Amino acid sequence: MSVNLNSIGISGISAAENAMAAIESNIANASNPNYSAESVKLQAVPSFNGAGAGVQILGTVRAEAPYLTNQINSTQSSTSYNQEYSQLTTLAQQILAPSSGNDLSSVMQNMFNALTNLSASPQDVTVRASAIAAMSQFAQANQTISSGLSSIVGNQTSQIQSLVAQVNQASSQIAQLNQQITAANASGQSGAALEDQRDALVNQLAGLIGASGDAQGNVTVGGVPLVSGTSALTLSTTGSGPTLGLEVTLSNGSLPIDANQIGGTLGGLLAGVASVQQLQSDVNNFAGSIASAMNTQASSGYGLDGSTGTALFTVTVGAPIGLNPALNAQNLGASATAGGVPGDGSNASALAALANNQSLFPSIPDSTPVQTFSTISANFGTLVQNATNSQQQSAASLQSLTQLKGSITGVSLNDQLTQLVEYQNLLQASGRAVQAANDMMSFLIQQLSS
Amino acid sequence: MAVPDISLFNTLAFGLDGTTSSLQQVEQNIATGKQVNQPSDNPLAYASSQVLGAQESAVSNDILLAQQVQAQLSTASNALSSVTNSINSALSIATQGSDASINTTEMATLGTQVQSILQQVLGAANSQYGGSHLFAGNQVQSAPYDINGNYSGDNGSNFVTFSDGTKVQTNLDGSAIFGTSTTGLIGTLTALASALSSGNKTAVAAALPQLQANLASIGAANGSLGISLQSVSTVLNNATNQSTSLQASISNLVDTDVPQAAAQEQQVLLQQQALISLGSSLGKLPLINILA
Repeated sequence: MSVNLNSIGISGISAAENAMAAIESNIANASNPNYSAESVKLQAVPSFNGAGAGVQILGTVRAEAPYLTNQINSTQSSTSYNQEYSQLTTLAQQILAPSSGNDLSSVMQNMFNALTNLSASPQDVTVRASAIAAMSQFAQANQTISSGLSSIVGNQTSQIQSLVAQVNQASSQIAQLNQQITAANASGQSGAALEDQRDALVNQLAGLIGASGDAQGNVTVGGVPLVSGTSALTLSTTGSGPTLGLEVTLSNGSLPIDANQIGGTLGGLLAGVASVQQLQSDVNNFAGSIASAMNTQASSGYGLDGSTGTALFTVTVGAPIGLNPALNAQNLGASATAGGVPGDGSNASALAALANNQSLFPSIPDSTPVQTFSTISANFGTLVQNATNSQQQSAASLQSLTQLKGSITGVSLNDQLTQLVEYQNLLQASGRAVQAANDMMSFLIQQLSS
Repeated sequence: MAVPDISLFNTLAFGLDGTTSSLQQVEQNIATGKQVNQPSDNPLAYASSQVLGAQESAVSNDILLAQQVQAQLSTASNALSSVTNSINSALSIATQGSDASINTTEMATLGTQVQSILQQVLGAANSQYGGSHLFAGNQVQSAPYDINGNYSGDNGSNFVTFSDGTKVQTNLDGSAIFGTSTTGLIGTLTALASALSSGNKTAVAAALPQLQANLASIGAANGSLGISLQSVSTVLNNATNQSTSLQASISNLVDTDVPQAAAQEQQVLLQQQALISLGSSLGKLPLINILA
């Protein structure tokens, strides 16, 4: 009987020591955001006579919240996506609408004003030169926007390879962890710390590419696997420019990832690049339409030197416009009269009247050039605004979900300290039980020997 | 529900990030004086301000252009007024020259005076503004009349169109107003000078009704200029008022409401101070203190 008493007390001491070790580990990791609180799972030892035979330790388990973990990964993907998209489009917006206020719209209006002035003083070489300077500024403003947007696209595209490398590294680490976790479980050791590491890496992949993982550590993006058990599949880029995409290399070929399924930073970057390229196309088409209409009108004009048909701009589809290098103050077709009558500014007046033309842009009907450009600006501003709002909302959701998950898996120092006191008491009580058993044994030995 | 300590600090940091971001936005609005600095701040307001800004730019240009056209037309009108005076002088001389009591010597002297008047009229007809001849049709770069009253301009006309659609003619056909060496006012003065020099009282008398007709013609031309000047004046006044109105509309759309922004700043600052105060108390975990 005393032997049983001893073993029961010792099992209590062992349980208390293990539980206190878990608590100390929890306290030590209280500030580790990737740590899930651990606890010792205990079970009563059954006895033959029903009086109880102590406590046994089943193992160390970590607190888990799989549904919230998936929600957090999904929200992390949205947050990173919107953050990247918002940053990229905000950069583009600064080029479209510079803080100086000299955007394409105001430069264009200056050009139409200069043409109105030219219509009043068509013979004045200074006024003619001013009109050409204003047209040059319009072309330069288009070129500045286009090259600025190209620069953004180039810089961001170069980051894609770096992000793809990060994805591949994280996938490899997850595959290795899957192997280690399987081995730990098979040998009866705790895999809690390894599972924490894996969760953190899956969360990193969610932020990078919008990946999601399952309980076995398999990771996919839009149904395409990145990690399958203990194997990591290689992600790589495919195509370039507007066809730039991502694919995963399989043993029997490659599998493209649907662009709409790519989330996280990479998804935001790809979508942002596409939006910036669309903006560049819209701005170049806009300026090209104005320049083409002006060239058409100028072709029926006559210069001071009697020449006719001199184009004002060079126009190439999909590219920014340029000022016609052959244009000068003498051949600028301000006059509508053959031979170039100096006092006739009617063609300049017709050029200036294009400012009120509402049929230059079929995609945005019934709009003057300024109204059309303001629509382009507003549409892009709405994209940026939506992305920024979505980013703020998803960041708040992420904070809320993380807090909620933390209430299940995080470490509350108050809780841990309370449990520490509880297990200290258990340790002391178990010690006293062992001591009592020893005292009783000593008493019996003493009685038998006397 | 257990509240992990890390969550408390994360929530605090998230809250402080939010208030700092709001504070930065409000302070930027106050510093720049604008609440709409880029399209994403308010796409609709930004687009409207762009359209209104272009209108304001066109209207401001109208003001400068209208002032220029006003000065140009005033120069032309002044020239016509001086010509009216010249015609009145010529009428007086013609009346004297047609009088039965005047002799040929006196008529020759009067003829010299008419020649002088003719040169004054030709000078007025060759008036310029900003290097542009006002009565040359579209041949504005050279004087339309030579010393003998021959017209080298054309009958072309040029119009300035303001942003409100008002069209004003700026170049005038001199031959239609002053005639040539054989027609109109210049023709009449040339013939009158010749008649006085040659002592032809009948021809002198015949010039009188023609001068009256010329006077009426110049008056009509000046009246047309007056109407144009009135149009330009209206454009100028409207454009000045419209510019002020457009600037106010743009300001309403994009400028910062400073009192409102200042109140918002105070509110955010208060919120931030509360969070900082909360943060300082987070370090004092009660259970640790009790157990210690």
